[in-house]
Amino acid sequence: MATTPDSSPLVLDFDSHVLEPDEIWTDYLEERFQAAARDVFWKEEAPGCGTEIVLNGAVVPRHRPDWIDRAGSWRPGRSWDETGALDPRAAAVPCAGARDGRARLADLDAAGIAAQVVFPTYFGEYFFVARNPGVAEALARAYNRWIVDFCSADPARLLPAAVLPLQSVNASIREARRAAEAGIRVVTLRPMYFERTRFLNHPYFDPLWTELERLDLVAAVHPYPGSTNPDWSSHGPFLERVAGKGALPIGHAIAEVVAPIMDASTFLIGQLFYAFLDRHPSLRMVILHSKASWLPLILEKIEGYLTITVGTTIPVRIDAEEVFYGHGSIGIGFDADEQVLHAMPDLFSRVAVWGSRYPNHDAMAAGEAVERLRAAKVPEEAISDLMHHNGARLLGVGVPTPAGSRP
Amino acid sequence: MQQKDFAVFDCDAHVVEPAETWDYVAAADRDLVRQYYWEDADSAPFGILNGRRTAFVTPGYRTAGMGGSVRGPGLSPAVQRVLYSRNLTPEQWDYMDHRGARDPLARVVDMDLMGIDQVLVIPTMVNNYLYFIENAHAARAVARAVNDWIYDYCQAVPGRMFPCAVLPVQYPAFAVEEARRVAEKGFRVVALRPIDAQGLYPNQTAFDGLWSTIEALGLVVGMHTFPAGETILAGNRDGRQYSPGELVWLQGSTTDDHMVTSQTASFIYEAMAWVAYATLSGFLDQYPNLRMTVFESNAGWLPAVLEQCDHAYRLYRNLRQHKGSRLPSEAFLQQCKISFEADEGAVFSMHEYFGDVAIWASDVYHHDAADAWEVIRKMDKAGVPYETKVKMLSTNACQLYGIEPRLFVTEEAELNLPDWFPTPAEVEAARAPEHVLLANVPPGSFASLQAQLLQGLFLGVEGEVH
Repeated sequence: MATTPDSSPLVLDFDSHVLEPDEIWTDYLEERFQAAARDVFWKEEAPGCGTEIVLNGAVVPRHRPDWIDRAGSWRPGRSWDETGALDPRAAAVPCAGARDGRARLADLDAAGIAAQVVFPTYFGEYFFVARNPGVAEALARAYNRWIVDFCSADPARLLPAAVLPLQSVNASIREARRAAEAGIRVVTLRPMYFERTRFLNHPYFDPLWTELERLDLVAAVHPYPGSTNPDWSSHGPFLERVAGKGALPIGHAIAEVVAPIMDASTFLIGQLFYAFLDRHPSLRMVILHSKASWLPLILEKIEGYLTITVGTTIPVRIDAEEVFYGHGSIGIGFDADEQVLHAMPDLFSRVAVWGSRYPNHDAMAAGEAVERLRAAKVPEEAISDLMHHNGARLLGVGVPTPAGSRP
Repeated sequence: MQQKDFAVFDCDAHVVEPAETWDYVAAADRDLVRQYYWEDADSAPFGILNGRRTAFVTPGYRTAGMGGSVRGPGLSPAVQRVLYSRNLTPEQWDYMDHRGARDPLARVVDMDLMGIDQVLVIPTMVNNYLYFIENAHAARAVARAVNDWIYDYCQAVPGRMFPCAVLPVQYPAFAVEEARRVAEKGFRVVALRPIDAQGLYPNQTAFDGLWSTIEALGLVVGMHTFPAGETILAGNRDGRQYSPGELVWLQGSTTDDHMVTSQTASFIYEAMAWVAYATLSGFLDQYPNLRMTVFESNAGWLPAVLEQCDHAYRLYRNLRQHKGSRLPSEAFLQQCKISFEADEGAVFSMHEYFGDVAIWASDVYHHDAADAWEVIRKMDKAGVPYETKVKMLSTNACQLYGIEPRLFVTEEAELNLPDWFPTPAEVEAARAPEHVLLANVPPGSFASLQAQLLQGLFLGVEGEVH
């Protein structure tokens, strides 16, 4: 496995995040859209007041009194138990790298990460729920211009993932083309329902998938918790509603615990039921931020139910495992503490890519991730695939090697 | 042929409640139940739900085509695929409709062929529709009737079949009453479904008495999940989701293409949601002697969900209300069991993790079921040690239910199949995608009917009864 001079492995982090600053709205969003955007999707931070999000004409409620901005609370060296010990009544300062590319590079070095793909936070959790396609397109443009600037601190190590305004397939195609021209390699697609009728497998989105394949972009299917999503749009709202009824209150959001797994697997089920991967043999696609352990079971279930799904309108291969693993340019994000992955390294080393989740509160440094894999006796060659080669192959670019590193 | 020297306990298999179940409704309640949950053979596939004509899956489930009674000996999903693509004669349909789904003596014959020594038998249709009955008294009457029927069903073959009861959660006091009644009759297991039908998700304060009662009675509570969407299209009258599985079904129902069956993940999602709540809220500490199982939902997802719950437990330490000392994973693995099925490579690979908590489920006679020989073969191929295999297929369940394991079946028998039964070559050929295309199947085949049924018959069929 390629290593740095101190024998740390060269790691490609396929799932990291930013905390979007207000300037995306105030400086990057074209002025002619700002008035409308204040209603459609707007973010504002004020000292002593915290972050306020306006979405579709209403302020998004905070679920609980938690002033820790958990999307940006991790930093190298901080353990999960230390995060748990933070005082939720005191606003914790997000890590500098959440908003500052140069500060982020220092964190990458400390965390043992050679390069990372950078995804949105607010533009993931809220933007896709915004209901005005025209304003959404403008906001996507603004974010994508900002993320390129953010990553310009070191374009070889910070790889931006663009957002697409999935509210409109035409707008999404336009923005995908613009992103490709700007040198962006990855686009963010959130697996959720739009207008309660269009999931990403809907024929409405066929032209977008075709275009992404043509542009050779990586389609990153990235779920978000969806705690404040409207009903019927993703799994998060149902989870929060039923948990909120419970006689025993949990005290914090529950959607982030299992909704991403559900949203991601719902996506894969729909895609395989409609022969999506066969229809897009060259598409580069990765499913992120939802663990990988569910993959073998869901593929087994898909195959089982496709076997007895008859009267189909299009030909669908039932051997879901072969369809998925045989596709050649597909990946799934994993966490290093996944016991199912530890037990089946040969399977996952074909497709899994590592994501730190930096700087979310549940992030993990690369060194710790490698240690956990080694402690679980995952073979070194598999670790190399999981932490480096699979991601590099998906991106279709070389991973930068810090000075002095050995191939 | 496979052999075995230990008793296999099947902890989740099904009956499909026949029309005679309604004969068990107390005479004084019949008029009421007729208004809220009723079906006659003459009006199939429709029945009455809450005073409205509703397309039940029941009639279809009572025929092989919709999957309720089809998976008997030899009728694997791959074989079903071939048969669904043919025009079948009435005799062939009849062959596929296994009597054992409603006749215990017929079931025993199938159990012997499928390598199953003992079984926990769970209702199908009532488990599906009970939670949507709007009248609490009617729900109580239906639950009592089904529980009495299934009790008699199992009594026909004592020592091999054990009944699971359903509870009318519409009014928790009725559920408590029924739990006590069935416990006195000798039931060891009651089933609840973790859905929000009519706003009755079973974690609410109103259910505290029920949980305490189940715990005190020493009953095992099986959280039994189900499909959502294609099987109960009525759903919640206020339009709110009752199950996460509905989002799976919605993918197909909004595209005008073939369906995406919610069964692919509805069971799993309902269970994930419940386990996340139960472990993060301190529910298992609240009821430390409660013996809870997760049925019908596979098990391969469990490690990932428990890992996520443990993460949250640590990360939200100063926010969470639950102050117990057990990690969520510890609480579940110490106190609960989970059923697994034959198609679970991850479970076999992680047999050390699952060895003490997994119990096997065939899901017979539902169309996606498997027999014991299949799971034994797969476990052997995966290298699951003998002692662990016996725990997972037998002793974990027997100890949980307090049932003495009894061995009846030691050797896989040759099946006496009819001459029209698909050959291995036909089964292999049917794997081709084109084999089941609507354009390629004969008009009278189930494949042809299924598309019509799901697109035309079920959608928008609710109406008033005049």
